Amino acid sequence: MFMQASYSLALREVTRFLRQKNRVIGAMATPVLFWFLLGSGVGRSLVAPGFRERTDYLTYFFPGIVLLIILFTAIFSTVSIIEDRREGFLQGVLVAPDGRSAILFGKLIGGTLLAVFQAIVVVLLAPYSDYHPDARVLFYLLAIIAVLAVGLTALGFLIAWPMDSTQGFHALINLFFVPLWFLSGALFPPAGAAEWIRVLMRFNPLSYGHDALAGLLATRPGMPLPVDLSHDFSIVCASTLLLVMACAFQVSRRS
Amino acid sequence: MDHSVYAVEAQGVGYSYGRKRVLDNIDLKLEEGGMFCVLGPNGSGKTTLFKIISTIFALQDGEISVGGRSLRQFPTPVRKKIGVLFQNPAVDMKLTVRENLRHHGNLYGLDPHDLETRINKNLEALGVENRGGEMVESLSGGLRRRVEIAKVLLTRPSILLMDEPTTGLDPAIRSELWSIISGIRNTRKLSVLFTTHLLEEAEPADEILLLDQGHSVASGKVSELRSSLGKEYVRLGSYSPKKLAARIRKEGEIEVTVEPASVKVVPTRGQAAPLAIRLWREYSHEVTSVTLCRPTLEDLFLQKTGRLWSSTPGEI
Repeated sequence: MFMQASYSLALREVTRFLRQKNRVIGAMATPVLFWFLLGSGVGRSLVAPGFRERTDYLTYFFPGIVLLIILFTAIFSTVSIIEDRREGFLQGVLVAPDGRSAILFGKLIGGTLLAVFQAIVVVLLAPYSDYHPDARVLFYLLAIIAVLAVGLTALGFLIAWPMDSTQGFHALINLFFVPLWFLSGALFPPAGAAEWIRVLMRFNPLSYGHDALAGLLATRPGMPLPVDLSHDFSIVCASTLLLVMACAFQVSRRS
Repeated sequence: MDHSVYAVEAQGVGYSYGRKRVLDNIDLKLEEGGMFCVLGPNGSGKTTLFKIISTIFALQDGEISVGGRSLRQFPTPVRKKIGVLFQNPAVDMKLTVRENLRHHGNLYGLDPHDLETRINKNLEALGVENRGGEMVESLSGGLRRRVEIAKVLLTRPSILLMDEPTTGLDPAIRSELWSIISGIRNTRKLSVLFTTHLLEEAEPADEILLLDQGHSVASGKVSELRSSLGKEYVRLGSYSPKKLAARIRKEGEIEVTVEPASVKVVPTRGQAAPLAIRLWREYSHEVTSVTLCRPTLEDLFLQKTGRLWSSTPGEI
């Protein structure tokens, strides 16, 4: 019953997403436009420590944009919890036998499917940024994107669950998610940053997600996988697990 | 008749939001196949009580059993027994009618093949079989309610819980909704518990619980509660009720109460009908209308709380 309920809630997420054309455009086009404009604008004018040789900003910024797409999708898919509560739909789920756990896993599965789909679509543009992932690298990219998507959807869920206003949610997102992304290495490498920023980046789990994405994308066909991939992957997995457990604890508590 | 197992039985139920006590020591018993109304003005705590019984809120104080099973110990089996109709329709506006029903069946783990059969039957029973492919957001309020009822009944609950089910509906749709509920009760032998702030909606219930500011002020069968209030009485409409009341009081052997635009006259001896005719004849120049009244639930509320039904605070 639990699996059937979770599947149904995940299917609902995907159906709603596809029926809201603005959402599809917003989630996909905004990061890509952001990447194209900022990447092209900055171009080769910044040469900071940590940039790879002959790498322009359009290339450096690409993994960060993949991360941003996952982040955006997680935000959009979890804000619906607040809408569901306000419109009454959530109550109908909460009185079902496994409703509480099903809503969590349904949202996680639904949000992850949407994020993975959108991120992979963008990854297919990688050759335009001088990245040439082969099938082996794509497999690992898919894995890290999926784990990141679960974790970020869980984080969005954790924030959205107790809230009753979408405005409040967006305010928290700006305060919390955006700095998390800024400090992941998506916009600038840690090497040239101030010491205190580097410390923050070291403690930001998203940095390890970005590092894994960047390392994998830079892996040319036939080259070995990045040496720190398993380290990055472990930290992202552990953070995701903690967030999912926190969500499970939160939904199990009734008023 | 032994009623040791009730469809819903609550004893000493209490609930607080932080330090604010919103329900205190509430008892109720819904007999199997019966219809029970939790009646209260806005702010009386009925929605909080509803949310506790429907397992959305945790039970803080007291005990509730549903079909003989403790709600505190066995919330999951209890959820399988109940169908819940909320104030706001719990349907997804971006899904079609059929998709909403299918989703609900999946939430309860219904077999997919059986689910389709049930969906077809329920849509037909509720007269919305031709709307299955339409988005819920395109339907009127009345049709959405029908869809929601069709959805709730998919799991064949033995107890139907409804929180202010007619909120936001116009009078014609309200009446239609109640006739649908009545039909369902007869065919499916459902036990029904509902909340309302509309006095007239409580009348058909077998029993009521009257709430005010989180406390039970009266409970029992509507007819018994009415008769406990005493006899029929006469209400005389008047532009100057105080003067009229003063004159009538001089006659003796009647109780006279001044109301905002009327005078309530209760005979202490004899019947109200002859009194109404006599008062109409004697005070015709001062009286704008004469109404022969039975004690109402509004009178009961006034007697128990000392306040008029319409003068109550906002919803909790």
